[in-house]
Amino acid sequence: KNLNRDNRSRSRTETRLTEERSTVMSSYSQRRAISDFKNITSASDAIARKVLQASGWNLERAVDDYYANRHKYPAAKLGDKKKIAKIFDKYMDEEESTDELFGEALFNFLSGIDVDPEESVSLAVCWKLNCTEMGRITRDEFVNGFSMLGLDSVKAMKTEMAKLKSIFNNPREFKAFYQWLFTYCTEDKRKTMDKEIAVSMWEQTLPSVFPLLKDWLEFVNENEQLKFVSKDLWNQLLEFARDVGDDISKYDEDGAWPVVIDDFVEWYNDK
Amino acid sequence: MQGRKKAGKTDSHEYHKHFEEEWKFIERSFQRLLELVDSGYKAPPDHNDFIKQNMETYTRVYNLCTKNDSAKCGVQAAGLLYGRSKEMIEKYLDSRVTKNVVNKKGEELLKQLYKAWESHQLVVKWGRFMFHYLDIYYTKHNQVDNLRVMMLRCFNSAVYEKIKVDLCDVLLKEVEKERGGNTIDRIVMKEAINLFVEMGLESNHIYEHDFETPFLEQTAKYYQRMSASWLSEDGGIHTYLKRVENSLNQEQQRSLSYLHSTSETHVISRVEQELLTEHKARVLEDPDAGTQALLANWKTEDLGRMFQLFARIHNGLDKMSEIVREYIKEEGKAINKKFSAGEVDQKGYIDASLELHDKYTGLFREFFNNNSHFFKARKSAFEVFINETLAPPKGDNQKITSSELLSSYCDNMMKNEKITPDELEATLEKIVELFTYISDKDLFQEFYRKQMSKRLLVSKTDNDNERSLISKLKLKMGAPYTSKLEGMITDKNLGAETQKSFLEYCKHKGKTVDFDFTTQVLTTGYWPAFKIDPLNPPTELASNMASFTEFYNQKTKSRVLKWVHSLGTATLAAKFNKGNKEVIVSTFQACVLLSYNSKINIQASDLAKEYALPFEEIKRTIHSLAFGKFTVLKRNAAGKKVVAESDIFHINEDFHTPQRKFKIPGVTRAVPGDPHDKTDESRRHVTEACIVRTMKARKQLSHNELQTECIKQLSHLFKPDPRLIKKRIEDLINRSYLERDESDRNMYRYLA
Repeated sequence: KNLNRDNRSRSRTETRLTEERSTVMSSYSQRRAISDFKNITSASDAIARKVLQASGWNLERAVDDYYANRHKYPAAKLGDKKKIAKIFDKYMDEEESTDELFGEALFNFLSGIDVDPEESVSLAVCWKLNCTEMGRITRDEFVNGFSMLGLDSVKAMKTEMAKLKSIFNNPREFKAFYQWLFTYCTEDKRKTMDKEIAVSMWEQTLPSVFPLLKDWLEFVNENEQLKFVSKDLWNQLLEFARDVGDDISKYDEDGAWPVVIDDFVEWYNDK
Repeated sequence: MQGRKKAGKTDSHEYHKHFEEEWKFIERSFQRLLELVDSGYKAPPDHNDFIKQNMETYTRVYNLCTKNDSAKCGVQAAGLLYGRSKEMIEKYLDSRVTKNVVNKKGEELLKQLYKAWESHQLVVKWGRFMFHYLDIYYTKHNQVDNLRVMMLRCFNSAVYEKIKVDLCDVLLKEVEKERGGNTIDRIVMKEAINLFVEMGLESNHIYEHDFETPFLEQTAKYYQRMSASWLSEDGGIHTYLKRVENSLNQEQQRSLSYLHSTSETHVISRVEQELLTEHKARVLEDPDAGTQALLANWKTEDLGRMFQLFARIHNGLDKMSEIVREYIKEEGKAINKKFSAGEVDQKGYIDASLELHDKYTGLFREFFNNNSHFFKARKSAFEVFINETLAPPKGDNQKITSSELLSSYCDNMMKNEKITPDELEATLEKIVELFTYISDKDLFQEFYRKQMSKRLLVSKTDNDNERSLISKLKLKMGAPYTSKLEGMITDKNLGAETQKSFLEYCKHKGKTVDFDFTTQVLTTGYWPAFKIDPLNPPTELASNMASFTEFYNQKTKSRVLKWVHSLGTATLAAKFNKGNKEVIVSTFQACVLLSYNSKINIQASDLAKEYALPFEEIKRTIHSLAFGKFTVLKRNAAGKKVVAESDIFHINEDFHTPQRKFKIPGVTRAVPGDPHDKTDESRRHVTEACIVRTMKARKQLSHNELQTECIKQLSHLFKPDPRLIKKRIEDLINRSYLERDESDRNMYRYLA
């Protein structure tokens, strides 16, 4: 009997290794995965199962996928769109023709849900709502976003948004947020971000994550040849921050780092 | 008699008697043999009788073994004969021979042994004859040694075993004597040593164990001593290798003359080890007589000897070729330095490099057997120093590289009309060899292209010479490398054809070509990029240009002609007060001058407008006409030799020069792009193509693997900078040709 079980588990690991999208898994380990998933993301059972299945029951990938594509996975209980719409109308500036929250209206709204508009947390709000244009929240984004999150009262929003600060401590969530931030800050057609915008974004979002941020910003500002930041550089910067921490000697110069980061390390070591 | 009592007709007792009788005779004759041998085998007076007796013995042995009714008796008889003859020999050896030999020393031992051994060999010979039948009938089927072996064994135990150590000592002492320069009796040596071989019967085991090994030991020790003393002598290092050579020859001779044939290789390798391997570093690296010193003083014979000797030993040439390589590198770097101080003498530099290269070709061929180690050494040395850039001291931005120098050298050679075809061929061969060492081959291509285009269009050059070099390059680098160059030559050759067809076309269409109008069509991709100026041609030129364009368009579809006026030349007939002249000028200069056919005074800016040229161009053109060597134009106002927009010029009617036909040197033609920039650009494309190609084939690669693969592919053309490759990879990621793997950031994937 023991032999059989060993054989089975061995074959299971083999299949898992060779074919990622295998569905040969015992229900026990499936349940395990689902409960793990729920612990991390506090999503519902159904969603957990769906995401895990789509990622071949690979917990890591499932969680990453979930955070990156929040809008695909609505909360257990959808918020009442009518109520949400009312909140939107309350804050929207009636004089403006477009159906969007921006400028002072946006400022007021954010303060209204206890989110400091100056802080990077405000960006996180936009992320949660899956906004596309910087500095604005459209009606649709507002209504659908909060609905998906299951928040239809200001109070609910306040509590939920307060939790947002935690993403800076959760590496996976932060990564998804950070990567989204790039597309948010660049206009539609462009593949690169202006240096100035990048710098200000980094200043706002990276301090708790990137110990060498100050040096990095100094380097970037001094470097005149660097005018645009590509998506690759943006994403890789986070990886770099995580790999190196505050000890730049951990840097592996044979790793496939973008040339700009190589230059940064050289510059840093020369100082 | 140990026979079985047999019932039967033949009485065994009878037989036994018969046997003993026969034996007496046999015993007697065998004894006679032994006596004879013992006395030195002086030919017995009754020699024939001796032979007859032996024959008789043979027959009797034969009879005893065969002619009897019972096979068993025969076997018994044979066995008896065998045993008794053996006893006889043993007795003889013990009583007579051993005592002569044992406890003798030195030469005495040798002499006695020689005698004893000679004698015994005779015994073996005759004994075998007499008892021959035993070998056929008895020994084979009864698991006993054949006669020869048996007799040798007798000798072995009676004599050899007792004296073998002493014998070996004696022999070795003799060898030592001979090495010291004395003569010894080599024949005796050979025989004595042969004894060891014979004693081993079928194998060399005894020989190797009892003689060869001690011999090799002694040899090794001897040469150890000698080499140490030679090297410690004052100035001994200079003669060392000669002595080594001598020693090796001597030892070889010695082995041939008295050692067994298998020993030769053992001896030689042992000697080589003691003389060469042990002292390899010491000899090669000696500051006065080592490889480097010999190279510096160009002692080719000594180098040759050094090569021959060290080629014998394992890994002998590694160190030597290393030293050669370093030395060539130093020489090369010295050349670099010499030609960097002061103005870089292009021709001199290449000449010096070629000379250096040649010097060693000769050395390798004559003294080093064209051994590949050294060619490799030279190659790596050249690759290092030839690719160092020579920094011009003026502090120009562009460092001069050997790519450029080599290209200019070729340029000069092609333009040199005095050089003979054979000389040229030889030099071209050498140039191509030098070319292989350059790492930035694509930069060479750019420079060469630029210079060749000038040669083809402006100067005169021999097409055959051009083709010769191109085909050599093609052989080395493959067709893609030389395709553009070949294209250029083809264009030029087609030019004449095209011209002919054009004239025919004009005749056919009834168009007149006013003057001698020749065109040359250049295919854009092959030629370096030329600046296209938007010239508004004068009427004389315009109609011909239109005709040609028409002709060309009907000849080939979907091609666009662009006129490169900056390359054109014109010959004008000019009437001056002091005589008519023919003036060779550039197209622009011609335009300016032709304007004066209609007006006397023209302002500079008007000229610019008329021909739709940028003012800079007109400025230069007028300058060459008014302030150059041949001042055919004169300015209305005086002043500095600078052309301003408002300046007005007129033809200098009083112009005079002794030549009837002359060329007005023109403006410096627009440089068609800096080869360095072009090369950088093309490298970017080539690198990207390489990356995409590799990724497409492999689908997924790690960063390091991709880098390695690309470097391998690209080094054929130039030395790729890893940074460049990295940058291209990033660019390709940005353009969505590649992507990073989500879980492993060092892995790239190809995006279809």
